[in-house]
Amino acid sequence: MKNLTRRSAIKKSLKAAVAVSAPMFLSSSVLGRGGKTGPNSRITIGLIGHGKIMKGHRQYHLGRDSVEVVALCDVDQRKLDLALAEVKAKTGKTCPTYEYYEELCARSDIDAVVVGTPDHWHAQISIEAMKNGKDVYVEKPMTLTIEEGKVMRETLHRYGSVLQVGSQQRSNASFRKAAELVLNGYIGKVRTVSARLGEFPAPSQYPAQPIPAGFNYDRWLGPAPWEPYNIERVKGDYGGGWRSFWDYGSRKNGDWGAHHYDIIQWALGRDESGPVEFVPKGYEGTEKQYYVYDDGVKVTRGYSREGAMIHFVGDDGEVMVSRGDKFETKSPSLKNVVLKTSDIRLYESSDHRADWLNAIRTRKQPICNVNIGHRSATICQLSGISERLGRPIYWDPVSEQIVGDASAAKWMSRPRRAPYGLLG
Amino acid sequence: MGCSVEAVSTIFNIPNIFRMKISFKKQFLVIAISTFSSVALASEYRSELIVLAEQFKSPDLETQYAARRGLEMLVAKASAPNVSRGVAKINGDLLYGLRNSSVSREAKKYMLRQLALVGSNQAVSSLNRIMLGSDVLLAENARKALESIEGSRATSVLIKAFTKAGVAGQKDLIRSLGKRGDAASISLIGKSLEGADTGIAIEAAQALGRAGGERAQSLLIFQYGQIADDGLVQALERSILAIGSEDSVILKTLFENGSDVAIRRAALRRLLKQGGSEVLEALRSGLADEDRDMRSIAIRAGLASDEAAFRDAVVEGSKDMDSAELGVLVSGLASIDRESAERIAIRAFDSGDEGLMVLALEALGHWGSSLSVDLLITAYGKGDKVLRIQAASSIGRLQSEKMDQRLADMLRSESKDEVESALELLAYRNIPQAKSLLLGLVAGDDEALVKSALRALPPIATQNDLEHLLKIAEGAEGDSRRLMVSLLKKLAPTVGSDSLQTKVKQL
Repeated sequence: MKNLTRRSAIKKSLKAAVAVSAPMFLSSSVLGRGGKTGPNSRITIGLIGHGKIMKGHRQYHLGRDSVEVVALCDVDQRKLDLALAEVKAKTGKTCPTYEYYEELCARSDIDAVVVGTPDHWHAQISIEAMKNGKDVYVEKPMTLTIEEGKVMRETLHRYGSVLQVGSQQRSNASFRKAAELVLNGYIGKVRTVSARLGEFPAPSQYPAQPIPAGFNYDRWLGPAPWEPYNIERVKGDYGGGWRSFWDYGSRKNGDWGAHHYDIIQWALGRDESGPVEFVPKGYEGTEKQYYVYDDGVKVTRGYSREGAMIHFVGDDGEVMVSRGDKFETKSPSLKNVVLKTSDIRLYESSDHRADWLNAIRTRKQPICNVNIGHRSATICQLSGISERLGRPIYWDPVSEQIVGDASAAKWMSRPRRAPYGLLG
Repeated sequence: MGCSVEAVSTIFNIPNIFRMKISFKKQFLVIAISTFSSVALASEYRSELIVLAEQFKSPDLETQYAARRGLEMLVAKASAPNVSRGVAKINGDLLYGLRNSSVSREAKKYMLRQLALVGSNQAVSSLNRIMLGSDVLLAENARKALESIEGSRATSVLIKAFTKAGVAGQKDLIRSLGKRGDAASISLIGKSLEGADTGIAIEAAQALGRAGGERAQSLLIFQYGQIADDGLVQALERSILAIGSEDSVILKTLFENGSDVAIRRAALRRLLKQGGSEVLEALRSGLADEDRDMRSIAIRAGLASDEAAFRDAVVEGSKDMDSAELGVLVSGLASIDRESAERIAIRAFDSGDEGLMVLALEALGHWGSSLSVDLLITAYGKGDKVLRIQAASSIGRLQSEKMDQRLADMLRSESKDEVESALELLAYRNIPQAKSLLLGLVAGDDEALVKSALRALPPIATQNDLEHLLKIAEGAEGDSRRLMVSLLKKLAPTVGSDSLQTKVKQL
């Protein structure tokens, strides 16, 4: 029945018979359905990548009545075993585990996935999930390359998925208040912003070590270039590990930068745009990496642990905001400003994961949607490209192209190792 | 030998990434490599490249890394926009390195990676030889370099290589050709759709979806009518969607018969975006579908449509929606006129479903008018914690002067509860009359209200307000005076003038 219908449609199509006065629909009742859980029902979730960051997601989702964790996936059997033990301890139930995310994504009874893998896997897994009709929570930065971001954006718009990027500072009241003050001109014209990222150790080579039993290292590498196994390369460590390798991320720019650049974009009203120039540390004596918007606002990277995480300086005041609800202003009275009704009020969320779950039910896009995630990740990536090339990069945020530098433009994509070829 | 890596790095403008804490002997090597990298632009890059290649053989891992980074920097500098013929020169020198038998396999691997970034037509023949060679690692890197080199020569060698490759190799080549998307390769990829190997056919379907264009679309649609394998059918359907087909016959077929619900939803989205009277039937079908997400997508897409008939169909259908669907509707009201949006949100609030009531309150904050003032105030006054929080936020956002007036009236009210509520809401809404009314309450006799009013004052207090408060405090007594003084002492250092601070200290 299905093929006959398909074939007859193709015939019509190839004959350019666009006239559709007699719709060829089959009755809905005779067609198979996806059986996806809907609003007011439990949202079924698969958790992919069980490193450090997934621990918080597991605890959150395992503790909620509105959510049911029904599948786990990791390329490391040891991590899967630990995660499954946690599921059993908290729910008294077990659930299937997977080495290959494709098998998890193919399950029609799963509504949504959380992607907590290293950065170089974010895009491919998220895309596969969306193509299978899932909604996605993907850790920050959303992507490893600018090309990946564009493909993710296209895929989301094609399938209508709900996607939240894990830049959870947007769901914190202090960061929102800071952004609202800056956006509404309470510190006057913004001149400079500093973002405290800290530093990773310099990258290095590591000797080959035996691959531990139960760990699919080739799959862990995935589309990244092949390199010999070493624990330093794969470990999840906020002070280094895979985060400090260019092959799997954008180092500190993709780590803390993904959080802070995201808030800066929000505060400057640039969620659909971005900076125009990126200058690396060391270029013609430049002491600190920075980027510049078309109106001259300069965002400088901080390397130490001193000062606020994000510091906005305007003509009429300053706003300093950090995690832990550390929020200060100059003058201090700015801190308590109540916005006027004519002021712009930003999207309000007090719980990043709950905002995503709510968006799944209502089909709206959440606070840190794919467009925002892509634009923020683009800043991380362009900062990294500029650092690796040792020269400034000029960016057109409208056409989303590197300007006047053909070889730098090649860095917007990265060759993908076989067989992890095409995205989209 | 007092020259540190740091100092040399500074002199030669070497990025920080290169400044490693390493032993002194290693420093020498690193400095030598860095120096060569930096001065290389004055001449050809060959000799420097060979020095770097030698360092790849070092047993010392840090030196190996420094060589890798040095090679990257050398190529980056050669290919910078302001370097005359830099790309041609570095291409030539990288090819020399690849031909050189004394250069290690590891160094060649990194040279190939650099050619993926700066490779030009002059590299195609050499890369082709390596791609067809026996060294699998180098062949893979050569293919990736060819994949990114612009121009027909690279496409041509990838096509020729296809006939000589095994199944795995053919899949890789199809991916490369798909990524390049050159018209010259579409026929070959199309033929692979018809081949005996389903795995290759699936890769070909995906590659055509990526490559795009009318020819690719025709091939996909033609095969879609011929193929029976479920996996391949799904791949074809996904690629037809990826390629952006606007053929309404195909889209309707995908909507009705798509192999999974995600494909059906995507087809419906595309159909609704296209619009047209004939698509209205699809919208109605989507709104009545058994799949909840399909219904949600129909609601969303219908609301977002430019066609009034689509929006009307959704709004009309709202009468029969359950609370979950109403939630989707209420969260997507941005697309319809404010009056209708407000009416729908008020109806949703009246449903009594708490989740829906919260969404309705949020919507009223955005789309409400003076008609919503009482509802929001009531929700704040009588709702549970979740409703109160949302109501307060929406009271702050509501674009209606009637809300300012209502809060001012509440502040003047005889009802203590109303006054207390209004005082709390001043933290969310900045009404013009707030300060004079607040200070009036502070000057009043009711100690509880004085306390509440003082709590509401800090966010909006200015120097003048503090002067006013000081005068009230000077005439006040008891707990009220103590609270006023305490507040003045807290606020004066940040908001008050020097003279005010002096007066406050004397209190």
